[in-house]
Amino acid sequence: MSKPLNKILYVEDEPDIQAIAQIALEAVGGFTIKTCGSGDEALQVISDFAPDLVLLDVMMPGMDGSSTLKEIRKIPEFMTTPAIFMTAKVQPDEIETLRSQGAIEVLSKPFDPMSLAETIKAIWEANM
Amino acid sequence: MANNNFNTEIYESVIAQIAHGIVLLDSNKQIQYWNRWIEQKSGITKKEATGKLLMEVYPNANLQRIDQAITDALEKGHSSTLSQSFSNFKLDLYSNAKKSLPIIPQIYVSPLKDNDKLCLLQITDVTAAVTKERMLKSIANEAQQGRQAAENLSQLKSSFVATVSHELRTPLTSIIGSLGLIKGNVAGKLNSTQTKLIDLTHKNSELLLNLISDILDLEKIESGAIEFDFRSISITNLLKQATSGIEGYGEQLNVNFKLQLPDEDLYVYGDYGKLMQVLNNLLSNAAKFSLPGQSVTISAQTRNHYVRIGVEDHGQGIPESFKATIYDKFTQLDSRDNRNTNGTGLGLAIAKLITDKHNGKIDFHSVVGKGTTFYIDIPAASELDVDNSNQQLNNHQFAG
Repeated sequence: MSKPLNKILYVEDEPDIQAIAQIALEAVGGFTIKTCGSGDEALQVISDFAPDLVLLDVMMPGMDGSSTLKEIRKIPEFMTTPAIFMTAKVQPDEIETLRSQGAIEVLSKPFDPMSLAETIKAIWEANM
Repeated sequence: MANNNFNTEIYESVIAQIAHGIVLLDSNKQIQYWNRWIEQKSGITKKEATGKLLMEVYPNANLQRIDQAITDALEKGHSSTLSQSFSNFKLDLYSNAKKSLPIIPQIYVSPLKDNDKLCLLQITDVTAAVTKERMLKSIANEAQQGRQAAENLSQLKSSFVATVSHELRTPLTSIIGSLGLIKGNVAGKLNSTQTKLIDLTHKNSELLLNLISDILDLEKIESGAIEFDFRSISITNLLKQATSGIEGYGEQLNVNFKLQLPDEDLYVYGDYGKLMQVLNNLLSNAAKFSLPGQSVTISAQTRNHYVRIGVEDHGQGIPESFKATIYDKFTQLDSRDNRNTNGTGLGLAIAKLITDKHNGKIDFHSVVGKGTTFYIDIPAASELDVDNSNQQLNNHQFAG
């Protein structure tokens, strides 16, 4: 993973939060973002988009963040693609559980839109 | 003997005057005696009644039960008490001559002690007692209904608060996010007036979000909607995380935090997230009421079966007048220079609620102008708790 972070697949069911994070990551961070409103949608677009990183909301109707990541891991090209969860739950053991499901980091919601891109960049670099 | 001074006439007038109905029946159930009370209450004179059957005097009353009781008294020597509410008879008795105020009677039927060929009916006016009883019953019913209504209302309030808080939080999160981006010049460079207005809007939106979160927390804890996850907690971990979490806020106010950890780690039995919330409240309060350049000290020590965590500041102190209501909801002391207006007035109410749920204690001592030390006492974890918690943690990791 020596290449710089560019493409992020962002899965979030809440459209307004999705819009804010998209602007924060594109305008502030300069990343290329592909947004999806559900886990199913993410599975449909992931192969074409080929993201460097997957950013997943945990609580979603239908397939939640954990199940989505589990499905993504079944696709050979994305078996090791770094993933970050975003959640409103901040109990330490819940964060541990999410980490153990293959995410490199768990970010808490609500997030600060101005520092979100920087935070993600730092996580990416720490895991290179 | 005094008896000799009384003749039959006197006895007669005593019985006549007695405040109960006295009716005497012979073995044929014919009325032999009818006292003045019943004359007055029934409007039937002694003369009219004497020699007649009770049935003849009261043709419309359903006297089956009374008749049976009279038969039992005359033939078997049994006594019985009949009340209108159970026996369904209807004697036309009134407490006034206009017959507008009916009497609820109770009738005691018994054989006359010294002459079992005679049956004595004693009729008592129980209107007052029955009315009172009915009233008490209806009051009790109303009270019961009131309690039920209060319970329902309290449940309704809980779910209302939870729903409303959640529904308010979602759009507010988007508002704050958008304002944050505008404030960060992402949507174009702002001039100074725009910056000022956006800052103000952003700050107040955050205050609103804090309020909603705090109200939701309070409600959840008070109603027992969230269960506490009690386990053994390392004080070193807890205090280190609490301190590093507040450092950014401290930098904004130019207040630094000093952590005094015990030589050997201590363990408490508690809910990690909730204790973190208490410490966050205490530490941000301490910073808020400190002057720039001052420091806040966090310490922990064993105290009997408790661990005492102290948060000491050197700020303005808490005035005497404020001490009684300090844990009440929505009470706030203005900090000296009012530089922080993000308080909700719920922090200490939540902190007290959480320490109470831990069977712990929260208290403080404060000297105006010198500073305040808040402390919480949380039950120390026994070795058993520590073992169990490690076990749980291991299981948890395997399950994950």
